[in-house]
Amino acid sequence: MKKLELCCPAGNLPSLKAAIDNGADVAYLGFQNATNARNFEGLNFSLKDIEEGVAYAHSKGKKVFIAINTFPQFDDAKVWFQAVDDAYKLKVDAVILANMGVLRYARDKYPDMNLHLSVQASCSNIESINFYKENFGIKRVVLPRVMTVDEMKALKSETDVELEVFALGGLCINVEGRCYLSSYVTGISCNTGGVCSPSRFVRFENVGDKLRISLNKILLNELSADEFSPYPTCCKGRYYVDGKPFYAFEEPESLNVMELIPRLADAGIDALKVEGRQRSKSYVALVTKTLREAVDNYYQDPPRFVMKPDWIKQSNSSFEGSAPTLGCYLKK
Amino acid sequence: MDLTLGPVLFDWGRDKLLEFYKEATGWPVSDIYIGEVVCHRKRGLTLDDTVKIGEELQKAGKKVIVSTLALVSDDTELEYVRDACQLPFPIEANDASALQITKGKKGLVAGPHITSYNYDSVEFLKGIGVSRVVFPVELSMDAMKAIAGNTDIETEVFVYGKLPLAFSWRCYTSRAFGLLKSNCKLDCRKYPEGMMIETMEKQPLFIVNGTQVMSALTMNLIDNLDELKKMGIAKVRISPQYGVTGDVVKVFKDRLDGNIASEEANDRLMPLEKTGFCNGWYHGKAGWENLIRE
Repeated sequence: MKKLELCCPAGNLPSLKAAIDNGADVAYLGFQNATNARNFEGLNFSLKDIEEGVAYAHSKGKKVFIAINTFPQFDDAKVWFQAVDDAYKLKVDAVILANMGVLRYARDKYPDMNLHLSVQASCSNIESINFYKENFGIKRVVLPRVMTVDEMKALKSETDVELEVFALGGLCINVEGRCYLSSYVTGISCNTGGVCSPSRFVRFENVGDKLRISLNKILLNELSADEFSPYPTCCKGRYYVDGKPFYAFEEPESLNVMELIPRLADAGIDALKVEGRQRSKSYVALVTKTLREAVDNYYQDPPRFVMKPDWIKQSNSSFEGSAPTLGCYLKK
Repeated sequence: MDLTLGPVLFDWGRDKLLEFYKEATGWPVSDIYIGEVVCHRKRGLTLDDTVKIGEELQKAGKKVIVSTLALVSDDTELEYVRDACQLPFPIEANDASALQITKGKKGLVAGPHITSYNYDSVEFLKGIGVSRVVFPVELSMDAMKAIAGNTDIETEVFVYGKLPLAFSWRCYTSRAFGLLKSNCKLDCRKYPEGMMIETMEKQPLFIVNGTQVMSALTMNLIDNLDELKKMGIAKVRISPQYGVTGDVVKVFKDRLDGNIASEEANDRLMPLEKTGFCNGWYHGKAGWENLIRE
């Protein structure tokens, strides 16, 4: 039986090794520039690190994917094209692309390159999958977090393109690749700069007994001492709606769909993705180990799969205080 | 450079929409986009209505284009897009699904929700038969210039209206009423200009329009029409706003024809907007900022 492949994030070489050592089938990563959607300072890989990471993963029979999943502007496309060239030379197992211009370049220049479609491409139906398959020969789509497991199953029954879905970690409530909230407030988004809500625009300020959190001078939240906020992004802010303060978009939550492993496997999903290239090596080690155990446990005896309390505790402990959610995987 | 009328993004209900498009037959716009971009659950125009309105607008000399859903994540939504793509008008694709469904159909437009951020994407789209590209609103003037100066495809720029900022599987209007999208009570009908989202300091920041997030401020590029024209932009889009669209169109037409200066144009737009103006990403800054370009 083909098992769910486990794709884990790596923001640097130690995290990549932590992912592989703790049971990841794939470590995914990015270059140190705006070509990837986690373009944070001090994060990501030099060419030399990738070379070493690929050698390490391959020596253990595991894979490395590179995300080149933002949208070039101006003449910058050559930076994205260079990233594709480098990824090819580095013999990574797949590149995760989002922009049609970059996809066309990769397909034309490297017909044998394994192309995956990033969540940033917002591809969530069979016609879109066929579009990207026919035009660029993509082998896998990372689905945006907009579908129920039943919808994923229906989709899988119509295509031989592999489907990868998010299983754990930070949750974008808006469709990625088409969300401009961060750039409306700061001028920079994942799409163009590879960063949502850049830290240099974030301010924490104590006023009386309240903690005020702002982004580029726009107030995103005001917390009392007993309240918690995850990393401040516009979608996780609290606002007045019809005169009432309210988390208008989402509560402070992180995705954890571990309990749905049997249903995702039954739906024919090919791979599970863990979010969090910006997170620490210990986060990568913990969530990879936990998810590996859960997935292996499922395949040992599928009908008798039961969530172990330890898995729930361990995975939820990685969420920095935000509550676990199944997102829209069961209902919308 | 011609004016176009973008699709109505809000839920105005059938009667208001019929009235709106009747009035629009007399407005000085070359192209009118009709059809649903945000949510198929709205009870606005039926497909038959859309065809009838389209024919009336054509009789009035307008080019009619049917816009399609931006987020297509289940069979009902996909069927909705397939049905829209069968209508006897050119299509504006706002998702890759519509590009696939309309393969070979004439006059295909890549809408603002297709990620045409650069020359290579635009050339690719041209290669598959797209005849017009509406730039994503997140592009700066410089980025648009770099594309428009190099390609011969027709280009369109969003110049006036609440900025479309995000789409979700979640209906934010329903959420404010403690409901889900799947059991929604069509509450967006109560908010023909969207539901205001203010910061804890009561600063208007966003509006929610069902599954869509928009800017609270209205993007206004009336000062930049000459520049856009020089860049070779073929069309500029006005996004419909409740009750004032006809007046906005007239101001833009007067400015385009050189009948009035920028200052007078702004003076006339001011009373038509309740919250205030921004320039979006035109100057390469944060979307909410309002700058005068030197």
